[in-house]
Amino acid sequence: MRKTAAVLLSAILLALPLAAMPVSQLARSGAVLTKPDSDYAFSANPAFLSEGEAFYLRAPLSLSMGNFTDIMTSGILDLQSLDEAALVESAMDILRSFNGNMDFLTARTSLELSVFGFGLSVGGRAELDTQSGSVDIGFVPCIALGLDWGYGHRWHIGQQWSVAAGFANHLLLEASTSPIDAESFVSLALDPSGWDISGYDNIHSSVWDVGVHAQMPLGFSAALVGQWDGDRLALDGALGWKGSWSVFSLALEIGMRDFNLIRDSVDLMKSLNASADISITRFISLSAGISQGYPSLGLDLRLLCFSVSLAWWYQDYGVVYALAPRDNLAVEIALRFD
Amino acid sequence: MKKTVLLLISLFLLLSCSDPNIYTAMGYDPLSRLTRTAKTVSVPDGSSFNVLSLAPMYDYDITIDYTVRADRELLVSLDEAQTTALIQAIDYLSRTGRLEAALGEQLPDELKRACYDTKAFIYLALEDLDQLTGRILDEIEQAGISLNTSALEDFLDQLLELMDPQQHSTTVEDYLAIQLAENVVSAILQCLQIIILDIPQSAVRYTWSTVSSDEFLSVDGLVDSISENAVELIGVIIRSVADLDQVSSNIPTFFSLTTVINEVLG
Repeated sequence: MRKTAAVLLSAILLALPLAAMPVSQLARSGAVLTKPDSDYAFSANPAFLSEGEAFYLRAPLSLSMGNFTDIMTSGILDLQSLDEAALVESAMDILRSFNGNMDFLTARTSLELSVFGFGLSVGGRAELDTQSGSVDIGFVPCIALGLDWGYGHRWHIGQQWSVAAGFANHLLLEASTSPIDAESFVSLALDPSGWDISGYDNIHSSVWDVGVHAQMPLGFSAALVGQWDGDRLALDGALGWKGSWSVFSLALEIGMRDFNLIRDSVDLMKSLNASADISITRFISLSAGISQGYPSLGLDLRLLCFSVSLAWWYQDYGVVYALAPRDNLAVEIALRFD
Repeated sequence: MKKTVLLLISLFLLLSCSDPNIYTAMGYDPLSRLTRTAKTVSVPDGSSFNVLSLAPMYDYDITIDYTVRADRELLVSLDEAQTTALIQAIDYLSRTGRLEAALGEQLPDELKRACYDTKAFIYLALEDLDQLTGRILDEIEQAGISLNTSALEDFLDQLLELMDPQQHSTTVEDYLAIQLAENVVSAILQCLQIIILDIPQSAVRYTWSTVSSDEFLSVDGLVDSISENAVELIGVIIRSVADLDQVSSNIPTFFSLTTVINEVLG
C-alpha cells in the first residue's frame, strides 16, 4: 500500500513541475483567438508566439473541481461531521451527483517559455475522473505530460495594420490507471498487497496548429487557426474588437470552432462561441463567455510577477449534446516574467 | 454601448439561471436526439433460448437454455451505453422538472405486450434465482462469512413484487422498472457464470432447470468458487445496484444502493 502511494505521489510530483489551457481562457469560453497574449500562444493561436517582449516565461499551477455547484450547494460535502458514516454517505452522494465519465478534480502545471518568437512549453496534469452509472462507480487517476514548441512572427503594415502568423506542435503522453472502483476497494479490504495498479491505458498524440492573426483599424481584428491531429483538419475562426476609455478597456470576440466540420444545427450550436472582457487598468479584468451554449465567468488579477485567475464554466458530458452539463470552478496562480 | 453590453450580460445570466444551456433554455430538447428503440426477442411457445442473450452488458462463455411455455416477446436488457443514456436522460428530466410527466406517459401497445411478457419471464426466473441465491447464501453463512443475508433476500423479494405480472405495465415508469430489474437479473446470471466457470464442469451448455436444481452445485465447490471470486462477484453486484441507485436518487419508488449496502453490512 505504501509502495502504491509512493508510486502515485512520485508520478504526480513528476507531472506537477512540468502545458494546459490557461484558466483565464476557460473563463472566456476559449474565445481568445483574437486576443494577442503570449498566454494563449499554445492553447489558442500560435501566432501569439510573436507577442510581448523578447523574453517571456510563465509557470502556472491550477486546480479545478467538476460539478462544483451541486457539490457545494446541496450540502453533500458535510465538513462539519467527520465521522466515518457521514464521510461514506458524502462520498456516495458525490459519486451519485456524477453520471458517466466526468472530470472531478484536476491539477495542472506547466513551464512556458518564449524567446524572440520561439516558444517551448512542458506541462502535466493529474486528475481524478469519475466513472459511474452503467460504466462503473469509482475514480480514474490520470497523469499526462505534454511538450509544446513553435514559432511566431508579426509583420507591421503601416500604422494600423499588422499580421502575425505562427505554428505549434503539441506532443502529449497520457496514462490512466485502472479505475479505483468498488472492486478495487473490496480487493484492498481483503488483501492490501494484492491491488495491482500496473495496468494502465496509454494515449499519445501529436497535434499541429497553424494560426494567423490580423490587427485592423478601429480596434477590429480577425483570426484563423487550423489544427491537424493526423486524421482531420479542424478550422477555427473569430472576429474581435477592442476599445479603451481612460483606465477601462473592453474586448469582444465572436467565433466559430471547427467550422469546416459543421453538418447540422447541433454542430452549429456547438461551434459558436463568444467572449467579453472588461479590464480596469492592466491589473484587473472581469470576463464572461459563451461556448456550446454554456456560460462562463472569470476574474484575473495581475500584480508584479504574479497573476491569479478564477474561472467558472460548463462542460457537457452528455451521450447527446446538452444532456449532461456540469459546471467547473478553477483557480490558477502563475509566476510570469515578460 | 455600455448599457447594451450590460443588458446583454443580464439577459444572458437570467437565461443561465433557468437552464445552464442557452439553447435548451430557448427550446432545444436534447432528448429529441436520443434513440428510443426497445430491442426485443421473439420466442415461440415451447422453444428454447439462451437467457444470457437477453443481457448484452456482459460477455458470456456459457449457454443456459430456457424453455418458454407460451409465445413470448422479450425485451433485451440495456447495454452500458444505453444505461448511461437512460440515467442521464432521467437526471435531465429531473433537473428540468419534467420527470413526473415523462414517467406517467403511456407506452405504445406493442411495447406493453413486450413488457408483460418480460415481466412474466423475469418473475419466473427470479423465483428460481431466489431459491438458488438463498441456497448460496446459506452456504456462505455456514462457511462463517458474516452477511445480513435477509437484507439481500428482502431485496430480491422487492424485485419479485415489482415484477408481479398481475400488475399491468402501462407507463414509462413500469417500463423502467422492468429494464432495471432485467439488468439486476443479468448481473445475477453473470455472478452465476463466474461461479460455474470456476467449478470444474464438463459442459458449457446447460438448461435452466439443470442450473436451478438443488443438485447442480456441490457445497464444497460452491464455497471455494465464491471465496476465490469474491471480489469480482461483489463488483458485479455493486455495479448493477449502482445503476438502480442512480435512477432511485431521482425516482424514490425505486431502490437505494446506500440502503441495500447498509442493510447487508448490518
